[in-house]
Amino acid sequence: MLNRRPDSEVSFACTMCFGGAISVAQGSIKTNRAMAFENLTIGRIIIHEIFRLNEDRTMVDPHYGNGLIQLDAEAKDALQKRITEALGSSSHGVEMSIQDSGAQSAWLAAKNIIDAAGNNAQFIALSQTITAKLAASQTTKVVPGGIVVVIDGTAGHPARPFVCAIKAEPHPGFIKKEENGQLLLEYLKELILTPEAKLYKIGAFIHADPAQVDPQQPTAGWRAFLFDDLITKGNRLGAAHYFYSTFLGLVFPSNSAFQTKEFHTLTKTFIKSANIDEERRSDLLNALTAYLKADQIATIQVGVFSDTYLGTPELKDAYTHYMEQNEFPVQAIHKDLSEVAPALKKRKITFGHNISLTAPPEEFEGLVRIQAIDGDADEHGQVPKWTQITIRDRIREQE
Amino acid sequence: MKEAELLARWRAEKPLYEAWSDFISQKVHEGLHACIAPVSLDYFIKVPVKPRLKADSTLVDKALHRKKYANPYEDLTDKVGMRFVVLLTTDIKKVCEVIEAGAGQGFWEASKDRDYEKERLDKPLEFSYQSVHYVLRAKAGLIHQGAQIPEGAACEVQIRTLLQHAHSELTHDTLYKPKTTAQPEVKRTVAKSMALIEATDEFFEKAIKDLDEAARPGRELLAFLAKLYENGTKVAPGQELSNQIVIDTCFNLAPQAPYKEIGDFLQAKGFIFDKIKERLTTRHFFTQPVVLLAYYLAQAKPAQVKDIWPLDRDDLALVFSDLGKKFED
Repeated sequence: MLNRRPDSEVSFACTMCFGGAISVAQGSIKTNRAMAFENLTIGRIIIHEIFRLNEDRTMVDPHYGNGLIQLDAEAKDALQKRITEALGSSSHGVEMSIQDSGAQSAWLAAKNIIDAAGNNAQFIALSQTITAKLAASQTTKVVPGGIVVVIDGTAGHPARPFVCAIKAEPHPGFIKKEENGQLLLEYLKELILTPEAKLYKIGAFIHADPAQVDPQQPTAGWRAFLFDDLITKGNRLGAAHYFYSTFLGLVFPSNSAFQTKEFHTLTKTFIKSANIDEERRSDLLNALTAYLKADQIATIQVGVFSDTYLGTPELKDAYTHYMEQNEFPVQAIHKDLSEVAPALKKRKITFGHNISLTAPPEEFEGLVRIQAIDGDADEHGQVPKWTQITIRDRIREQE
Repeated sequence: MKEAELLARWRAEKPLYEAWSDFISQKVHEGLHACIAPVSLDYFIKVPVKPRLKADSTLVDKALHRKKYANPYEDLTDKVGMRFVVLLTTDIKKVCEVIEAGAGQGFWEASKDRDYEKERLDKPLEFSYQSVHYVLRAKAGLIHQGAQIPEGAACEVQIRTLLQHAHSELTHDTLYKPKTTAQPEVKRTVAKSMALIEATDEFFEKAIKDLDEAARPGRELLAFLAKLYENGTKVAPGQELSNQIVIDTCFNLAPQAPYKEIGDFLQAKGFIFDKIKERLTTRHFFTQPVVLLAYYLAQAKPAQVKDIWPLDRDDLALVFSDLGKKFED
């Protein structure tokens, strides 16, 4: 949970310079608690297969694998990349709260795998339990079958045990082959875990703080993460509910509203302090509102805002660094506008001499144009900066 | 001395002279290898060194007809010879040092019978053939490849720059024919090219010095990374060109000397060295010390390093992954 801090003043000692020589990100690098998936080491791997419901909505029994999968170094690297692309910092992965810690829960199965350490038979049996639970969670015919990959290993620094379950949906594709010097295409109907992110979902449990033990709260010290491409857009509740809730027993964190507001406050502060011209600043503040208000997204993510709006790599890095320094999660967070809504209602620009301009943010972009212009030179020949405001409408009322 | 007598002795001693020249070639190569590292010999020596024995007829021609030697066999110093061709005049000095060192080690006596620097001082207004020639005479008691090298056996060693070599190749067979030497215009043209060569050589030296100076900050950063790499992995750092390319491209993103940020970062993330060690046999990039800079920049300036990364993006993606970071856009 993030600490609350006053809205207006965020400690942002700004010595930034976003053009030319950049010195911002060269300070000390904090080891951030959010770097959950650094130093990822994949241990055991097993796969099983689950199927779509029968026409009469009865379940098809999963096809269980009985042995561990051995991968060479290159394949392990690729698998590691799939996991960090999905759950690592700047990813769409979301940290979730563990709700179900009961005897049948996915969390308990993961915990038991970790507790059984090197016992392969136990690992295989528990991975089958997890697979059975996923199969049973798929209660509509809409949900396709797939391969269930269960992995254990360690993550973080210091390394902590983790277990993850991946549901990978097979999809067709081609591979290149060469026979007698002739290039050929071979069609494969069932590829899985290609970089095509839409076609897998991941749930991961990390025992991040083994020292934290609370009999009332068995999941204390555990962290859970979810990746599902569907929750990044559109209707999160309909989309993958069976996966994150029924199967994994996870819920969106209760502090989402606070985090959303925090995102807004921090990003606004960053934009206000950045060394960019006023027009660009105005554009970015508009973009921030647009980003938060966009109906299409169910999550908010520092990297997405950065990639979409900030433009230069220098500004992107400065922003990411600033958010990390302020301990804002680098993974995606669940968007909840309930606390930030008032702040999004109005945009206000204040000039010297108590002059201000207020407008609804959505009108700002289309109807108001702000430009810095050169003013008239004073008696010393100094040219002041003035502001030219164009409002594409008539005056309606004055007080 | 009769021709027959001279030829008989020469034919009998050829294997000894062959062994002698081979001995010299080997020792000079060894000495150079040590003094030019990490530059490779293949790069330093521009034309492969091939010891050459004088042909029988040339030997007779020179020893008995062209020259008036008191002791034709012994006085002929180029019965066997070899040539070192290098890029710069400063490189010539390195070869000279190695030859003088061989004299110090008691292999041979070395006398310079041509020294272009001295010739330049003696004849400042003339531009003519330039090279350093040594005559190496074997010390007593040398055995090489089973052959007992005769004490005092001579071998001529020439050292030239590539430009001097080109000039010499041009003039050697043509210019010194009596007919052509008579033509002053040809001699003038050759003298002009020699003058140009001398000027070019000066520019080469200056360019190398300036390049070296400009590359110094990058070299220092690389040396720092190489040391960290060796300490962290206990494996000798690779020296391939990838290092230079990454340093060149990413230098402006890297912190300045003494690079404390990089050291602190790697100290805090000790696992990075374990990750590198795991990949030594499968991923070439992880054998190069510049991989450490990639890790640092992936953490400190991810968007910028992604933007300009000059090598295989798969390697950088893996670096991001090790730090728990998404890489693909």
